Amino acid sequence: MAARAESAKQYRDSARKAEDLGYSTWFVPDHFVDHPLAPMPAMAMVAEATSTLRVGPLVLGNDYKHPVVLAREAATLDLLSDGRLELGVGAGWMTADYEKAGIPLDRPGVRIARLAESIAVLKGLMADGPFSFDGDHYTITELDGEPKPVQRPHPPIIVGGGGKKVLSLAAREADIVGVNANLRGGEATTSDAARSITGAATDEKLEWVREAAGDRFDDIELQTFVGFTHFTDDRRSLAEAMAPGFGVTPEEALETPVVLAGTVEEMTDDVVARRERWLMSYHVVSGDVVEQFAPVVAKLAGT
Amino acid sequence: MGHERKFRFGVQLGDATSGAEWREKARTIESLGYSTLYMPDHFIDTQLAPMVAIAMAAEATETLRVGTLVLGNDYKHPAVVAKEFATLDVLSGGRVEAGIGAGWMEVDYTALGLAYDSPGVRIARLEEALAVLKGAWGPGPFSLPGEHYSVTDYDGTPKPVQQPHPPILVGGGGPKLLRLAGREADIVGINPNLRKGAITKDAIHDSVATMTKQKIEWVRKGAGERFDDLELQIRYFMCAVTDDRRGLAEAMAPGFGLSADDALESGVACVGTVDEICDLLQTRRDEWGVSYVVVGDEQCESFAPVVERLAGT
Repeated sequence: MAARAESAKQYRDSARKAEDLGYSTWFVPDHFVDHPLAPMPAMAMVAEATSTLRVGPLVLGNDYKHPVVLAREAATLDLLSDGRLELGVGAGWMTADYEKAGIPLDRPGVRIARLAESIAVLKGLMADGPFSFDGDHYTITELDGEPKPVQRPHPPIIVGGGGKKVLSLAAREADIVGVNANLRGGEATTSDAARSITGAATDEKLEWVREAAGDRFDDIELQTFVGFTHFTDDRRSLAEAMAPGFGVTPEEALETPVVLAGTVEEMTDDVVARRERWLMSYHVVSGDVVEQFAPVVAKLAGT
Repeated sequence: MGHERKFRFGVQLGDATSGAEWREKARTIESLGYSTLYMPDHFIDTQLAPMVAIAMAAEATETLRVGTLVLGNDYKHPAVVAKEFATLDVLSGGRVEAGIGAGWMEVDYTALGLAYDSPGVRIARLEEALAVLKGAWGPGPFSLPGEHYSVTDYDGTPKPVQQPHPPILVGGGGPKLLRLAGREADIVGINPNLRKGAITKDAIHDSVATMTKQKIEWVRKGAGERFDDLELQIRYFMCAVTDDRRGLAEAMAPGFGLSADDALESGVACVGTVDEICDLLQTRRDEWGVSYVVVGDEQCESFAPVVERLAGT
């Protein structure tokens, strides 16, 4: 996942490098604060600068755009990239985004209900024929969404989240479920967020997903964003130094699916173990470690 | 130092059926000497989403400028629009023209389930949106406690490559909108008035040449001293390279409820041989100051000899 660009050339070169190194997908986050690039134009340019690399937002804040606008942009990107879009959407969580841009920050239940309607609108507009929708948040009247995407019935939809409600929605509706920390506090680096994604907490999240998904659970791809990746020969010391700041034990720090720390071998083993334990087969790392992490990708991608 | 009023040309297009076709169109437009590829922003009739498609067109070309003609302001929050244009400006090396209007096509609003407010409200909202765009692109944090948008201490990123900001293009047809464009825009698009919410005979009659002159006066009034710095643009909706302009006009005019003479005189018509069109555009530049000429995708190739002769002169 790459949020920044020093220059157009650097951004293009990084994307091409990720493609060469065997990564599947180039993800762009969606925030107003501390994240310099807007996902739609950035993904479009990356898709045009590469030939097989998939692109996606991880994830779009649903409240920042009307789903009719979003559906058209997503379908355009899928069409013009020959079917390389993965469409990540979430309920929106970062308080600073809402406050600074002046977008009303409703309580989580309302944001999640709106996301559910938005997913219905996205699917409806990407399907064949005119679509109407009479929701609490969106009203669509006889609109035949254009263009239609190349990937049918629609590009894979990623829904990411950390709480039971949004993960249950993701399990019912998404093709790829992003299992994240719970960001109910509106910030990512709090101990509340860290405690919500320990190994034990992740076990519980998987149960929520499994329960809500029912029969379709086996068709879902499980994804996690490894927000913290650090290469070291002494991961124990690193964990001991860092864990207290997040209110977790060193063991918990190494066990959580959002951390990879250690040597290439240790990371490789962790990624394999996480697929066994949580069925997570889709791991996203920060753009800063694309090259360092490449040996893990080379060893495991496609296996 | 006012604007030099050298001719430049743009093509407005909205469709492609594949990435390969889109890329090819963009490269053709570039190779024919056009300055800019523009995309409209509507939801009815097959059209690609402009922000995505112009990004791809920029990446597929080297020097071609890309822009929106024009974004409907009500479809996206201006903080989102500011960030998208700035991203595109950075990643294209400063090749973006940010075209925005108040929104007019009623069927779009119906499709999205958005309120179709009175023109006055839409224009007031556009005025605030322009302040949000400029604020987000400017240095440091800014706040706008507006009627329609409320931005607080927001330091927009990225900052665009073009400074102080990418050229802002505001297009419109009525006095209020054109005065606003004169005050705030870098490029002003002189259009028929679309107050009916669709392209009707009202809009056609509003595009006769005498009205175009009047519209430019409205721009001048809003612009004051900065009028000489503005670039004026017309999108020619009736455009054809032909040896028989009279015959074509007689065939087309009745459909628009105009006489053949009025059709040929229309401020959005340029019909004739390459020589006749070049003469017309030069006359209009002398009289109206309009130096930025935009045609449709269908005329892109046939109009190219005009571009070759006039671009940069």
